[in-house]
Amino acid sequence: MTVEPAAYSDEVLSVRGLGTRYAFQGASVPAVRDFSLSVREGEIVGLVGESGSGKSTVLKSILGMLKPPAEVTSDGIFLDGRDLREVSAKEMRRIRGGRLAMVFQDPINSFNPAWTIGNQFRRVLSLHCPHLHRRDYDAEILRLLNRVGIDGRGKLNSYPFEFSQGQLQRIMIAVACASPDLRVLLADEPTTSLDVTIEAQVLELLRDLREERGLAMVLVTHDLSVVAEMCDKVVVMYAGRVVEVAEVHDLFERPQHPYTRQLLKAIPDFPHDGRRLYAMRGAVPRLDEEVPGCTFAPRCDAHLGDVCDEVPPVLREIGPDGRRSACHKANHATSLEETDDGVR
Amino acid sequence: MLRLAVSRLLSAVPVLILISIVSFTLLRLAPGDPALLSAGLEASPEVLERVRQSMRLDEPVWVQYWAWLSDLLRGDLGNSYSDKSPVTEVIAERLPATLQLSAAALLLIVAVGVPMGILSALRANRMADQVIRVASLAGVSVPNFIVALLLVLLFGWWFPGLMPYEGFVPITEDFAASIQHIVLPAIALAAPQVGLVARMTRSSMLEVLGQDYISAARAMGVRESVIVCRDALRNALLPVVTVLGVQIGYLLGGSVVVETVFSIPGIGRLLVDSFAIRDYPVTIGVMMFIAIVFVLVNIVVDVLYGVINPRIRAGYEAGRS
Amino acid sequence: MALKTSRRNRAAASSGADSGAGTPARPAAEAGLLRRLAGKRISLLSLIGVVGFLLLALVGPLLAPYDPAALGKTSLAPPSAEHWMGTDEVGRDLFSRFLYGSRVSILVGCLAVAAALVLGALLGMVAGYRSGSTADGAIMRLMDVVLAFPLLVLVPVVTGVIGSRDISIGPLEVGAEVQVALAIGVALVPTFARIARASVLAEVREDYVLAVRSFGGRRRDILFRNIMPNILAPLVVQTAFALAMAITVEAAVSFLGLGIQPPGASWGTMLADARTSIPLGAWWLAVFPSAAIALFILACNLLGDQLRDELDPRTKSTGSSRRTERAESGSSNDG
Repeated sequence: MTVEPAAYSDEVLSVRGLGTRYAFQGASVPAVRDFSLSVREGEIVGLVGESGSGKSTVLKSILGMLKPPAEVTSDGIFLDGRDLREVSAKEMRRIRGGRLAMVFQDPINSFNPAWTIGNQFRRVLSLHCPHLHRRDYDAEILRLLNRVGIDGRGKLNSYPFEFSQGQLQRIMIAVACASPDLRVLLADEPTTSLDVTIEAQVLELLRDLREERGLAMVLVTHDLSVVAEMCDKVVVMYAGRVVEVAEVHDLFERPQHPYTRQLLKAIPDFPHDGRRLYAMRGAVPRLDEEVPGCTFAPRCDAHLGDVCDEVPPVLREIGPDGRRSACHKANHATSLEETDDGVR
Repeated sequence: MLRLAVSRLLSAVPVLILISIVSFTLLRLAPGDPALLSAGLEASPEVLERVRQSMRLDEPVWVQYWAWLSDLLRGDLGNSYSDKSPVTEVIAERLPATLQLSAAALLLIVAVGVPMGILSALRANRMADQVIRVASLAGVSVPNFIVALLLVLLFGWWFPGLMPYEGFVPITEDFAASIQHIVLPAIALAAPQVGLVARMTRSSMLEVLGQDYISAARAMGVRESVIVCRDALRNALLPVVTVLGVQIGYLLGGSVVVETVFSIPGIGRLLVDSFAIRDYPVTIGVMMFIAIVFVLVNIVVDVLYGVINPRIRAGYEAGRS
Repeated sequence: MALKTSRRNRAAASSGADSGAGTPARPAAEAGLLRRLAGKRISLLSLIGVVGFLLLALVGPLLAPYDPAALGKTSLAPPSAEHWMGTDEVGRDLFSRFLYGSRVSILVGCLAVAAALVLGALLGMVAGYRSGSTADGAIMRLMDVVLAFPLLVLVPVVTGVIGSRDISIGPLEVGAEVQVALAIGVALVPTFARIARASVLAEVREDYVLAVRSFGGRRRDILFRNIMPNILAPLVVQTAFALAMAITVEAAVSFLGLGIQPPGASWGTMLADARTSIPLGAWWLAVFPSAAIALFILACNLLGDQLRDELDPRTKSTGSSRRTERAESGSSNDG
C-alpha cells in the first residue's frame, strides 16, 4: 500500500502500517495487520468491527502497553509529528496519560477498589500536572469533576464502589483529561456497559470536550448508532485488517465494502417494517488460520468467485477524502452500485 | 469495626457450644471409669463412691454437661488423671513451646511463601516461575512429619553437629540457642504451607494483574513498580490473609507431629503423650483448646480482613450510622 | 459439557485478539498450548501414578517375597538383592512390609474418602437445596465444628476414643483399619459438604431447575436427578485432593502410634519404626515409605489440578477463565 505523507498540518495522531502479533498457545498469531490511521485536531475517528477484529489491540499498541511476547511493528506511530517508536520508556510513560490518554470499557473495573477516588486522582495529577502544588490538588480535582458534571465535594474519600457506573465513567473521563497537555483521547467502547440514557450523556460529554479543548479522539465501538452520532470519520476493521475507511455520512450512504454493507443491513429499521432481520452468517475467522484470499470471503454476499478465495484484496483509494476499501469489487464502483440495489 | 467483631463473635457462639458438646461427648465416651482413674486403682469402694459424687458422675448426663460447661467457663478443664494437676495448668505450661514454634513457622510462611508467589507471578511462565511452581508443588505434597523425619536423618546422622535436631530452649532463657533449636522444627512445620501460600499468592497476583484497573493505571503512565506495589499487592494479598488465618489452625495441628519428632514439650506432644497413657481430660482439653483457638483466630482474621478491605469496612460503617 | 467446552475454545480463539489486555493475560494464553501439551502429559502421568498405587494396593501383597511379620536373622540390613528395601530392627523384610503396608494405607485412604464423599455430598446437597432453613444452619454449623478441630487432632482422638471399644455393625466386626478410615472420613466430610452446598446453591438459580419445578417436579427428583449430575464435577475434583489428605492423615496418625497399631504395617507405622532407627543411620527405613507417601500425594494433587482445569473451569485458579467468559459475553452482543 502507499504510505500517505503527513498531508495535513493539523494531523495529531498518525499510525502507519501497524501490525500486532500475540503469542497464543505457543504460536504467534497476528491480531492486527497493516493498520493505518490518521486523526486531525478536533476530529473523532470511529473504529468499528466485531469482537476479535483487533480494535482494542490497536489502541493498546498505540499506547505502547503491549509487552513481549506480544510483538508490535509499524512504519511509524506519530503524535504531533513525533515518532513514538523512538521515544524512551520513561518518556512514553509521561506521554501516556499526558498527551495521549485512554478511557476503558468497564468503569467499575477501571478503578482500583482498594483506594479512594481522590487518592487515585491525586496520583494522576502528581504524574501529569507537575506545575500544580500538592495543596491545590483537591481544588483541581473538584474542578475537573465539575467539568464532567459531578459534584465531587465530600466524595473524594469515597471508594469506587460507592459510585454508579455512569458516574465512574465520567470520573474516568475526568481522570483521562486531567493533563492540560492532552491531545488525543482513545476511548475503548466507553459506553458499552452503560444504560442507554447514561450512554447519551457520556457521549455528549465526550463531544463537548472535543469542542472545548480541540481534542482528537479515537472511538472504538461496535455500535453503529454511536458512530453515526459521534464520528467524523470511520475505520471499519475485520479480522485484524482495515476493510474500509470513509467519512461518516459516506459510510452510511454509500458503503463500499460488503462487510460494511452487511453490518448496516443488520441494524433493525425503526419502526420495524415486519421483515425478517438480517443476520450475517458465519463467524469471525480464527486469527491463527492463514486464509489465502479475502478473510471475509466465506461470509460475503457479493462474492465474486475464485479471485476472492485466492487473492488477498488490497486496501486502495477509491474516492476523495481518503475514501478507501479493501475489496476486489471496489474497483468497479458502477457495477457495485448495481448489485447494491439488487441486494436491498 | 466493632460491629463486625461483635457480629462475628455472636455467630461463633453456636460453633463454640457445639465444640464443647463434642468434646464432652468424647470425654464421656472414652473407655474407663473416670472415678476409678481419678481416685487410683487401689482406692476403696467408699472412696470411689465419694469421688464419683464429687465428680457428679451419678447425675444425669445433661447435668454433668452443665456442670462441666460452667467449670469450663470459669477456666477449669478438670484435673489430669495422671498427676491430678489442673488441665489448664498443664496446657499453660506447655503452651510457650508451641507458640514459639508456630510463630517461627508463620514467620517462615509469610517471609518465604508470599515473596515466592509474587516473584512467580511477575515472572509468569519464565524460568523463575517454573522453578518456584515445582518447588511449591513438592512442598505441598510432602507432609510435614516426613520433612521432619528427613531433617532429623539429615542433621542427626549424615551431618551431625551442624544443627540441633532435638529439644527446645525457651526464648527467654537463651536467645541464640532457642533460635537454633527452633529452626528445623519450624522448617518442617512450615514447608507444606509455604508451598500453599506461594501458590495462592501467585494465582491471586496473576488475577489482579489481569484486571482493567491495572491496564488503566498503565494507560495513565503510572510506573510499573508503583503499579505492582500500590495497586496489585494490596488487592492480591487480601485472599492470602484469609488463608494465613486458616494456616494457624493447621500449624497447631501439625505441631502434634513435629513436636513429637523433635521432642519439643508443646501442647501437640502433650496431646499424644496424654493419649498414650489414656489421660483423657488432658487429651480432650488440648483438643478443645486448639479448636477454640482456631475459631477465635478466624474471627480475628475476618475482622482484620474487614479493616483492610474498604468495601466490607464501608458496609459496616454504613450499617452502623 | 461438550457444548460448553467447544464454546470456550472458540471464545479463547477470539480472546487472543481482543482481550489480550495487560501482561498477565498473554503469558497465560501463550502457556495455553504448552500447558495443554505438558498438561496432557502431566494428567497422564498423574493418572498412571494414582492407578499404579491402587493396583499396588490390590496385588502388592501377592508379590511379597517374605511374610511381613516374620522375624529374620539379620536386623537393620541395608537394601540388597535379598532384601530390596533392607530389613528393620527385628529383621523383618521391609519390601514385604511395604507391599502389605501400601494396601492398608491406600485402602484406608479410599474408604475414608468414599465415606466422606457420600456423607458430605448428601449433607451439602440437602443444606444447599434448603438453604436458609434450620436444617441448613444446623448442618453447616456442625461442619464448622468439625473443621475447627485440626485433622491431626480430631482423627487420633476419635479413633482412640471410639477404637478402644469393640464395635460391630451387625455381624461385621469393625477392624482397626476401618475405624481409622471412618474417623478420617468424618474429618473430611465438611469440605465435601461445603462444595456440594455451594454448587447446589448456584444450580438452584439456573433456569432448568425453575423449568422442572414449574412442571411440578418432585423435590427429591429435582435434587437427585436434575441437580446432582451438574454438581458432580467439583466433587470429583475434590475427591482427588481428599485422597491426598486422607493418606497424609493416616500416615501421621499411625506414625504417632494412634492409628494402625503395630505389628500391622502401614506407611505410617513403618515411619514410626523408622523414627527409632534413624539415630542408627538406617535411612532405608524412612526413605521408602516417605517416597511412597510423597509420590502418592503428588500424583493425587496433580490429578486434582488437571481434573479441575478440565471439568470445572469456574474455579480455575489462573483467572484466565474469567477472561474468556468476558470475551464470550462480549461477542454475543456484537453484530
